[in-house]
Amino acid sequence: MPANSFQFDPTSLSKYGRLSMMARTVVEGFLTGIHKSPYKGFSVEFAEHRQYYPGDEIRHIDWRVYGKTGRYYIKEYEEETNLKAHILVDASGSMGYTGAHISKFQYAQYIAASLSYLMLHQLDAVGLVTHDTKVRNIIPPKTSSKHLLRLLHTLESTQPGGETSMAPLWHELAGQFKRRGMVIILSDCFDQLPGLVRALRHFRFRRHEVLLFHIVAPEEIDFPFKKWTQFRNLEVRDHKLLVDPQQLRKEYKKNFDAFCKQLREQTGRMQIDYHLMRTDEPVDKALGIYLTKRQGRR
Amino acid sequence: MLPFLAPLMLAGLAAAAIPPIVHLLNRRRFDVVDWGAMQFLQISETTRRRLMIEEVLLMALRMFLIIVMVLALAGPFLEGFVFSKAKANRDVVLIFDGSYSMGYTGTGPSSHEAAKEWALEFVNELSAGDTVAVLVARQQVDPILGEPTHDLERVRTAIQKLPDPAGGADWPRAIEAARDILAKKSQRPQRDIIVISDGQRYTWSDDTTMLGWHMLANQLRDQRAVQPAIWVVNIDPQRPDNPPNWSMVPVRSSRAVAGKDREITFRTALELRGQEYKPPYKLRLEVDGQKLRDLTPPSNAKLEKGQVPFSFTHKFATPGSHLVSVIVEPDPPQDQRPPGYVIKDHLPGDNRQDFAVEVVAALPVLLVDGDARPVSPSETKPRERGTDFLLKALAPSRDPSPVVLAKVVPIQDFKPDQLTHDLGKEPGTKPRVLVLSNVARLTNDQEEAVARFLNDGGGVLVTLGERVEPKYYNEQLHRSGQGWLPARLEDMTGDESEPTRAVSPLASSFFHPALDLFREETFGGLSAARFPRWWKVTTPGRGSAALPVALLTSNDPLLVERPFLNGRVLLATVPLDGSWRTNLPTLPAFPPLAHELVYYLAGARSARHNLQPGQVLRYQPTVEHAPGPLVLQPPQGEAKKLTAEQWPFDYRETRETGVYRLESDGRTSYYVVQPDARESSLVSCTQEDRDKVSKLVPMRYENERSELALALVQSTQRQELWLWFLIGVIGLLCVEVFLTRRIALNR
Repeated sequence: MPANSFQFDPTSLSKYGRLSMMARTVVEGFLTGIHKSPYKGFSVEFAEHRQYYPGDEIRHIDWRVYGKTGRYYIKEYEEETNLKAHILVDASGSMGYTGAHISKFQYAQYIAASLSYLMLHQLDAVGLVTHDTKVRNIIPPKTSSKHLLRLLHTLESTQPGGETSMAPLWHELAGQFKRRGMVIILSDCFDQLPGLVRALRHFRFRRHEVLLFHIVAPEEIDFPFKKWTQFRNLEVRDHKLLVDPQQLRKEYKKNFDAFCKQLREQTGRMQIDYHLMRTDEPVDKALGIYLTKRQGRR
Repeated sequence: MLPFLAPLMLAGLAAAAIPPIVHLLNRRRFDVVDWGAMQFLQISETTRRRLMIEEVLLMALRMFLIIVMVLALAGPFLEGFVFSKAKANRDVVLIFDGSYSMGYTGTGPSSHEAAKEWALEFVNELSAGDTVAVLVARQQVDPILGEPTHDLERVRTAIQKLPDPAGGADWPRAIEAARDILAKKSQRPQRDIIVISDGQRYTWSDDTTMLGWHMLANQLRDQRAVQPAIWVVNIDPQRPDNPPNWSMVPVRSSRAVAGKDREITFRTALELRGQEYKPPYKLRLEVDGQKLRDLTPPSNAKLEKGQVPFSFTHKFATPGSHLVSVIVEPDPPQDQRPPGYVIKDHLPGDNRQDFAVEVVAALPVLLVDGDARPVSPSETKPRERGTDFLLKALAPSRDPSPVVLAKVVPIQDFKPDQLTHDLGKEPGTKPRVLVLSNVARLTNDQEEAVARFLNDGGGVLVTLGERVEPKYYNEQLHRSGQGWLPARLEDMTGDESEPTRAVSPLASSFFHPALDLFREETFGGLSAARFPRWWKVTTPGRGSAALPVALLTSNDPLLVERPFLNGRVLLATVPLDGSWRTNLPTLPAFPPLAHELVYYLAGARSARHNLQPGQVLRYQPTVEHAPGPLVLQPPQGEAKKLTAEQWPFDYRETRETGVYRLESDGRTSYYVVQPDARESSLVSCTQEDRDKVSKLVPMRYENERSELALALVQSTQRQELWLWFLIGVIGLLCVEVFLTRRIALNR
């Protein structure tokens, strides 16, 4: 078992149960904290009863309950979704960076698994694309509960590697996702910014709602190295750089901050939800962001 | 190149390599990180150049800082008048010529007095803050003021009380000693050595001294410390190049140990320079410091190599240590000189020679006979032994007062304590000489006792014969040259049944002092001896202390000598008795030979009474008494009260030449530290001689004090720069801190 893998015992679940377990724990833990679900509506599937208040439609009164209790109760149903979400997970080499915490790719795996669990729980259709410069796996969005296992299996069997050049690939995917939906991108976005922005714009052009989780390690933000360090490129073999980090820190942070700032500004202009996720932050932060976004969609 | 006070500190310049080494080490010891965000590490060329410039600048600054700090510690200075704002202080070592040639009075007051006067005036001209050390160059350097002192009054007093000139001088060593003092004690760049001498060639540029200068020059080449300026002042420039002089040649005696009431011959010579020989006004003999008689100088003698040799005899009435002094007075006293009298001698310091001699009532000799056969009851009278011949020769029974107190012991009765106990009833008769006559072998105890005896300055005579076991002698006593036996025994040779083929001593090989008497081939002399049989021996050869001192006609050694520890060993390759049909004991030369050999061997201990300067004066009482107080009267100054904690008592302060009189337990012992007789040559240095020396060891000759003082000020004004360098270090440190902080803030 890899050092940074999730520590729950998977014996009670299927062989893909690690991500499943993690996702369930994260999502249920998250939902337990919400006293009143704001996401219940009037759909085909009954959810619960609530007391009638003036102004409620009479047709939703459950007369059987009235017959039994003599009180008006309204039947609530879970809303039937028409949301199709695509989760794009960047599996390039740079996502394999492991600092003091779990790797960026693992973090992306947890977010993707948790979101999938949550969305499928809410009957949203979830699809998954793992990629580096090429698509590794593509799973079309479905709502069936068995679909989760497939998603988790795909996530878990993917290892980071290869180069990142996401812009052409995202262009291609934007063309493939015909029906309007939600695109959730989990990536460190280490690519040339103009191409990246053009690709994101393509998603928006297709009227997809785009949620960009920019996953970075704290070390990539703070650059805390002090001794002379040889940085070995995770994406290009034999590309090494021996530097005095103290000399470079200022320049590095300037470059990095400028990149993040431009990315945030550019995505903001395109009404893309940009969220910088540090690998030392809890995964459920991503769930809150998603649900807020989901609510806004209604 | 900038001169430095402590150039050894410049080795610290290597520390300038520390910053680049640290940089390289840091580069070699790096962490490895697999990294994704490579695109943000790509910095612009401008930034890269700026970072590199910053780094190089910082490193260069740190290196420069270390260099400047090391230079400051090495004490840089600049020479030259323009750099001096005021008269700088100096450290001076004054070296006075302490040799007796400084007693020359031919041009007025003695050179010694003139040197003192010159030095006092020189000291008066020194500034407050200057320091002065005072040395006297003798055969051993005498540090009158061994450390530079600011107390100029103390310096003046020391100069006024300088000891009278005596003995010779070792100038290279004196300069070396002065340099050592300045190197250890001086912190100033202005360092001067002032040599005050009489310009004599001998001890300055003669061949022996030139060797010393060469050695000193080699040392100087290896040393990087500030070299003091050396100034040589000839205090007596008016002295003629080769003034006339009379002197006495060191006295020698035929024996280092003399017998009481026995005539002993002393040899010496009058040495003249720059004049023909005419008998001196007086030639005086003193014994134990008391005038004994006037000696008759040779009349109308011709000079042999500038010398008129003569000898005299004397009998000492009492045993013990005695001092023999011969004093020549070439000129009559001033009031007895006729008008127009030309003085023959202006240098009185070499008109006297002293010699210490030891006189014994009878020389104690222990004869060990090798005949170990037990005495049978049938022997009614004492058995005749081989040692009887030597006994009769050394101490004839009819002589009522023999000069040798001899005792015979058979080898089996020879006990180690016999060598440390008195032989006779009189105290002070511990054996001085041990004779091992035809002894087969020694026991371990006997062997050790003989080695101790030699260490105490005893003499051992080994005579070989039939009984000797060569294997034992070679393995235990010779030990391939490590033992005390002088030669390795090979085998007995010759045939006693064929006396016609016997060998004889080779008179032409007798150069040993103990064989002086036998050099001439006379009837019944030593060369008339016949040895049909003898031992062949081999000596260790060149470089060994053992030497054949007399040969046989077969060219085999007759006598081999070796000094061992503090004693002497003589090995006779023939028996000194009647065995092997030799005629030696029947010859008239046999008794004198026996006497000469034992007296020579006994002289090992007595030789310690005539010393070289610096040689340890060792006193060992002849009559045992408890260690206690001693009084030592050195050649000059007051008597010293000393305490001996054990015997022998060693006294090491023997720099001064002359007579040392030591009194202990009511007995007086004389010791003579011999002066350098060649000092009597008053030939002055030529310019070529002076140049020869100054070429090896840079120095300037300046006779006029006023000119010297001016030259001192002009040539050696030095400005120390360490303070400026230190300020530079502080400045650089500030810049480094500023730069480091600025760079750190930028990061």
